[in-house]
Amino acid sequence: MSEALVITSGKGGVGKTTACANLGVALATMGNKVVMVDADIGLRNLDVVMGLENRIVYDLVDVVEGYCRLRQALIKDKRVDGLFLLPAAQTKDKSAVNPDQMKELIAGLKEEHDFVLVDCPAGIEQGFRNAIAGADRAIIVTTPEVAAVRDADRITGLLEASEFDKPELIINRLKPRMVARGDMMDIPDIIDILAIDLLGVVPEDEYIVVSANRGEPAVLVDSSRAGQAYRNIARRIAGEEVPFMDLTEKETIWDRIKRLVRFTQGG
Amino acid sequence: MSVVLREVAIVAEKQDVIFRGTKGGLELVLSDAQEFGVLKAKLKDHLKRAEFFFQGSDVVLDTGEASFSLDEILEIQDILAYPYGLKLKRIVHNEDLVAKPDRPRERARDARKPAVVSAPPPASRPAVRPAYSRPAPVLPQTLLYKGTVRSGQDIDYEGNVVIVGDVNPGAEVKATGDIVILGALRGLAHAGAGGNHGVVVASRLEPTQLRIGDVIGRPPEGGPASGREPEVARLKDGMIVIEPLEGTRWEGER
Repeated sequence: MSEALVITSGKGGVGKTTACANLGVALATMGNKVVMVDADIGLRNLDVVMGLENRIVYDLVDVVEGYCRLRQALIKDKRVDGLFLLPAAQTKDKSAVNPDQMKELIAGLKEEHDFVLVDCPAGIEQGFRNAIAGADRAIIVTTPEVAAVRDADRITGLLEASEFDKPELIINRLKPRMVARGDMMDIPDIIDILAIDLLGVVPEDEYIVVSANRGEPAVLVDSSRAGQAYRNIARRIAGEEVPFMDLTEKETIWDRIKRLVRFTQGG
Repeated sequence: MSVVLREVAIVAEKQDVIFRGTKGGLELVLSDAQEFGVLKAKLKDHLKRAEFFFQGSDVVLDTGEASFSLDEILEIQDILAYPYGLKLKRIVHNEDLVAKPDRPRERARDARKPAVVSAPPPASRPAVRPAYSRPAPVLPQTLLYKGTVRSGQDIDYEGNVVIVGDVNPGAEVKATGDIVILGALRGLAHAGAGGNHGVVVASRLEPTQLRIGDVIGRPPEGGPASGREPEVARLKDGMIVIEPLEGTRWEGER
């Protein structure tokens, strides 16, 4: 049985595209046939994060407008078998496609893939409506910030109004130490507001920046904590029960010195 | 807002002051045979009667054979602007129509006040998507584009394209002929579109992807960035070949 998931957030910059790339790679390495759809027409990024930009010949709009067949526009990933990308058009805008066309497109992709991941643009306008059109499940990405959670709440409402009965949540870029100090929203605070199921928590990881610049998703790197988190989330998406990672970090000697210095200065 | 009143002319006595609705807005024709003071009074009177009918429109002033001084034109502009909110967009002068479209600007140059006279908005950048309205050219036309072509912008031209500036990743330049970029090519260039020959020349050739005719090439994965010298990409035996521009032999090209 195949499934189409839309990855959305409302707010920009919370990590939708990173989540999409990492979950796509993780699901494909588990042996699934996966296609990632970049629905951010006019501001495409997924191809860049995946390091596949230079292979684009046809894009989503070309498919929808009938300039090419669906299969011609799919780009095979260069590292992982069974992973494909349908890139967005860069020189068009969101109005180039409508929700009905997206529904048809996603239905076509579901025929040959186990998972269809749709990378949704920021915002709640036409791009959002297009991205959610063909999806069966919605994953909301947020960061532990008031503005991001506010937008996630708005998106949850819109998704529920569009008959997504159970959107799921990924909390991205959590800094466990800041949470421990009480300087960052904690997981229960966020769940309390949004009241949706938690799919996973991804800790802040500098490697994400490195991986995006290299076009090489973090899940491919064993040492990346964010990569580990995404691998777990992918297993949960596929229906496995995976315990949540322990995100508390051990204090290093260096941290301890810094803390003491700050304490004495503050005192 | 512009009022579109085709073929409707509101004619004042003796036709000294005529307002005409055109596609581009209101056209104001002032008689060249009348004294300025009289014209002014008639214009005011005219506007008063029409009042809200014209409000907020853009006005093109046709001065016919008459030449107004800068101060006079400023006065007309004031009359139009207050309290009716009409904007003087452009001034047409009979001579202008024939030979010198820029004449009013020259006039303004000597004046003390800045150029409110004839201010057709400066033609901004060349159209990024030029229309193919001209008849098929015998010789290929060349589009000269100055500026950075940014992500999401595309230039698609029937002919050659010369870009003075960079082409960024995510931008596309497509030409049926050759493409010359005096700057860095980091995005996509497609020369010889619809045919099978054409060259891409760039000061720094670091494209995301190159296309010539129907051949598509991309730089090798993780390969070193191109040198800092100008290079030329063209088709040889059905493959895109990149060579330094210096020392390139052009025999065999069109």
